[in-house]
Amino acid sequence: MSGHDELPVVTALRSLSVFSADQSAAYREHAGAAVDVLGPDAGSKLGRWVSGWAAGGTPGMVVLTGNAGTGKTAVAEAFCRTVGAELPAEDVPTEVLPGRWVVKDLSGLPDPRAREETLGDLLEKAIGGQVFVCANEGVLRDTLESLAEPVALSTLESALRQGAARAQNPLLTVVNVNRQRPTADSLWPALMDYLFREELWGGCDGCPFETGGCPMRSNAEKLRRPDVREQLRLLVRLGAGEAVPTLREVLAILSWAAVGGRTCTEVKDKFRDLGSEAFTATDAYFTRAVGGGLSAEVAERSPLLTGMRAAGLGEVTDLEIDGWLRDSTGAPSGVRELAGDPLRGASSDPGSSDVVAPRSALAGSRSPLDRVRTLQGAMTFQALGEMVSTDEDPTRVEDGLDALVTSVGPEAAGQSLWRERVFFEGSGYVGGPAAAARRLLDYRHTSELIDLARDAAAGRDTVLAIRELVRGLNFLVTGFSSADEGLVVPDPACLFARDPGSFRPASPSLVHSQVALLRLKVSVPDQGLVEELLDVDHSEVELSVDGDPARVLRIRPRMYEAIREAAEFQGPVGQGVAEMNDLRGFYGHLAAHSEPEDSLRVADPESQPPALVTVGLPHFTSAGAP
Amino acid sequence: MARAVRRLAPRQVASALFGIDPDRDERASQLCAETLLTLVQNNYGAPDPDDLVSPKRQLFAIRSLALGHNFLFGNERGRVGDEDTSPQRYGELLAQGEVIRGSAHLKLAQDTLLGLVDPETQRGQAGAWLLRPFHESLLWYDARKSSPTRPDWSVRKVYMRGSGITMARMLADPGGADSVDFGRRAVAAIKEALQSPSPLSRISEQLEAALPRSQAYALEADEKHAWLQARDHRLASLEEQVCRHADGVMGQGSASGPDRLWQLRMALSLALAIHVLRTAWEVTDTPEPDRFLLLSFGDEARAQDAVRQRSEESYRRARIRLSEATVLTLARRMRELGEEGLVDWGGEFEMRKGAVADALQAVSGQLREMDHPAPEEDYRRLARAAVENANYSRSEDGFRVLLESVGLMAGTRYRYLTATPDLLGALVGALSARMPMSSREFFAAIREEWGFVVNQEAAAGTSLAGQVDGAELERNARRAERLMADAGLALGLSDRTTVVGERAARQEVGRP
Repeated sequence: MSGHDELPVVTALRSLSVFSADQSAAYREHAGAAVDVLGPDAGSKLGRWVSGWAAGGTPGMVVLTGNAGTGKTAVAEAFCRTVGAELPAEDVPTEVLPGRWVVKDLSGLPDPRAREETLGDLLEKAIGGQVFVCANEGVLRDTLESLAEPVALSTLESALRQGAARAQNPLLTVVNVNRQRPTADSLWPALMDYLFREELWGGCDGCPFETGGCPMRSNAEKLRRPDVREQLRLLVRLGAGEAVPTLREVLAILSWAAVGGRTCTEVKDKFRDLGSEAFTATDAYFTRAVGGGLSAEVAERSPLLTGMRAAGLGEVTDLEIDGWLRDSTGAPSGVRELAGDPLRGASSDPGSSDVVAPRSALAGSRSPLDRVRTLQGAMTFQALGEMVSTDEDPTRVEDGLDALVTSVGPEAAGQSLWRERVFFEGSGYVGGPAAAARRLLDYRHTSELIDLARDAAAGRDTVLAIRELVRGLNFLVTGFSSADEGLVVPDPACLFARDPGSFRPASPSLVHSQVALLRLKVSVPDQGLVEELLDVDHSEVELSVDGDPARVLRIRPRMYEAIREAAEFQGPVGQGVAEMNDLRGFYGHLAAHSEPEDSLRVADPESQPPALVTVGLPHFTSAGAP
Repeated sequence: MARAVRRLAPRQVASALFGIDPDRDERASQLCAETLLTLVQNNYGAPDPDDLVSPKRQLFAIRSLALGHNFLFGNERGRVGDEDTSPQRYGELLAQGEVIRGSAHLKLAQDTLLGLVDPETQRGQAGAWLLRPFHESLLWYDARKSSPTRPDWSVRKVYMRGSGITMARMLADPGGADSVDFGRRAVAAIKEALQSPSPLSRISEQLEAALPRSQAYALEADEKHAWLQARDHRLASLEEQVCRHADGVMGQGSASGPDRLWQLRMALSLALAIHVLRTAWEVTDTPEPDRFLLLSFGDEARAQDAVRQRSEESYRRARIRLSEATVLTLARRMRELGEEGLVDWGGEFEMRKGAVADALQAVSGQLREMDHPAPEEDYRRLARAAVENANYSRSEDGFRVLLESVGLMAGTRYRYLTATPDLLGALVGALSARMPMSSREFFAAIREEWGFVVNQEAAAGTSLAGQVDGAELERNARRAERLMADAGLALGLSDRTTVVGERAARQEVGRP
């Protein structure tokens, strides 16, 4: 035990969450108390690089641009710490040590003129000293334009497109921190350790964790497991396909997942009064990580969380997994343990004898994570399934069914909680993490996209993957499902006749041109300098024609899903308008960059096997006779 | 002898009020098609009014193929290709997608073209069906049968009523100095998009070329009038908005040609609808806090959705203002004609049969017996009686159908205002010169440009401030942001910022 009434990490995590009133630690300037508990930062690649640059003393200017919450100020603090200075309190340029300047936020300067003068002056200082600047993209661009600094401006533009760019005289490095991904290989475990490392979670005085009564420590314990972390990482990746994931949001979601709005005192008091019934899986990380406990109004404030929720975890049914909940007897022993089956070698009594529910409904329970609240009292997943399936009392069956399928307010239904738990902790019993994702999320092919991105980043062979992409794309845009003719580029007008989300069969499309498979290339967007400076995560790809940056289709998880479903099912795919908008733009540019074919050909979705049919127009030697 | 102009007829009153005459038959599709046809027929230039070429364009061959209906029926003049094939027979074969002089798979081409029919026009008789306005070779004018009993078709006004001709001149020959550059760039981009190389144009050109050459349609007086009307001083702000928004839509970075033309269709219609509404606000002296249209993005049941209910109310009020503006304008015209000493009041109204004629006869009788100038109240009373009994709601209905056809209206029994993803795309496109911007700036911009209120900030200073909870408006804004993000128009950056229109502004494709 730590000797605290309140575990410091609980207080710190509560203040990191932007979903509750106390969110001071979500802002670096007010994060002192949380930093004292958790440590200065999680240790990003950018932070290490800036610290190394500061320690080396190489003159130049480093500019970080990016959205609020991406961690720019934390890196500024790392710069100051390395040179033995304090992070300035003001946004204005500050010489933290002789020859070292820091601008915490260029937009904090009062007017454009002041920004121009400051930046112009700092560019000169960067010839002999070190200048570190954090700036909003728009403000920085406007200032550089006014300063007539074409080199700096083009460096900024390159950085915005490629993630990072560098110029000489003075040495100028611009980094677009929006391209940093919390799910990067080294950053993700560092972030998880930052919040959930064992030393932080020793317990407060009188903590009921050992007797299965503290949901927060149970959550933290699970969030140290590698398999759980990987599944959570996948969800964040899917959310990142819809929004730019800032560190602030990720930390907020992780904090909410572990502690919600609870305090140690509250947990202890409630456990004292209600025993093991005090907390159930509605306090579990696996539901909170996807917005459990938050009202829809609050959850939709976070684009990342909204994207994670869109993955459908808890809503997607799986016959086998749902069946384990109703009858766990045939389930693998590990699954029975997750369900709180008392026959699966559990501690016979999770709490002291006076706090266990009298009816053995919690007999196999190990923690709040395997308990569900019902009108018949809290019980394990296993007891709930048994009550629904075998109980002879119709009232109990009715109450059980309510708890199983009905969500009340922000509290999820029992079966949703069960699917969520299996997704995170039972992936090994359903065929591995990729299979768990395929079976329990609306995204069935994400792991393949990540594999493809990794292959492309490593320069490995992607020919077969390209062929599969082309097959899906051809079906999406023309209803013609074959890659034998290469990428079929329909006349851009014909794309408006196509609605892949509907059950209306595809109309035939006029072929504008075709692109041979050999001209197509799959690459990842984050390559080069950005990989050296930022934690990037290769989880999306770009399909380009002849390597031309103007003819690129960005394939994120949702687009990949649409393409693969189209290739696989050749039927309606449940995707939205965003994909069609992207496709219209892409094919519009392909058509604009190439001449239409000489012959008139139509991609006919009805023909078997799929074929491009040549249309012959009537032959006339001259205009009609009068 | 028939009177040339009935000065108190609905159309004349609408023109006197708005400087243009919106009609309930003229939806976004017709307005855009007429605009583009005028530009195409006049080679994207601005001819002298006497040299203007009519927008009427037949294209009966491609139309027969695309719509599966023989528009050449009854046409036996000349031959197509050989002595045995009359235009009627040619149209019949095309309509059926059958083999014609060595052709192959015309049926497939027909199915392809059928997929391009603008769904907004796909009702009523086939002569008024239009293809989406994606290529010069696919643009044709309304057609109808000469009489219900005759089988032959001819090109004539059905739903196109001249507003498109006015819009075309605004773009090709703006009167305002500020609009010249916008208009020039927009027309150049429209031309490029409509003439881009496409297999569609080859089908159209080859099928049409086989027909005996027909005479060009003569310019009609009201077409010339519509062209001249573009310079009406009351339309100056409409012209400025049309040119600026057309330039914005057509100058976007990453959208394809058809995408931009589809958005142009919406931008033109929206500009006209908002011009009509703003004019009505001015004429009726509507208090500034009441000058807005509230867009609702909720998905809750109506009873629980306060924003939706206020949106219904904002639309209802807009229609009341339009009706009131018509009453005031009719009253003003009555007073002006009374001051001129008009005697034949009945001849100035558009008399029809039945109750409408009786009501207008009663009004004209009272006007005849009044001493002019009479008190303002008397004119208003009579104008109101005329408006309530006769068909003066054309501009009000025109406003409604324009909103409907751009995707701004939803609901059946209770109509409220919202925006479809396509329409949001057009709003973003119209403002592309200012993109990207935060969603907050975007909501402020659409308040300024079109009077739309979405979030709490835009509602400040309106009569909504005391009617809807600010939190509900903020939720409405987040729903709108989400819809835009789903449509690829916006990107959520963090818990506080959504950036709109990044793609619309960029020249490079596929970069974040």
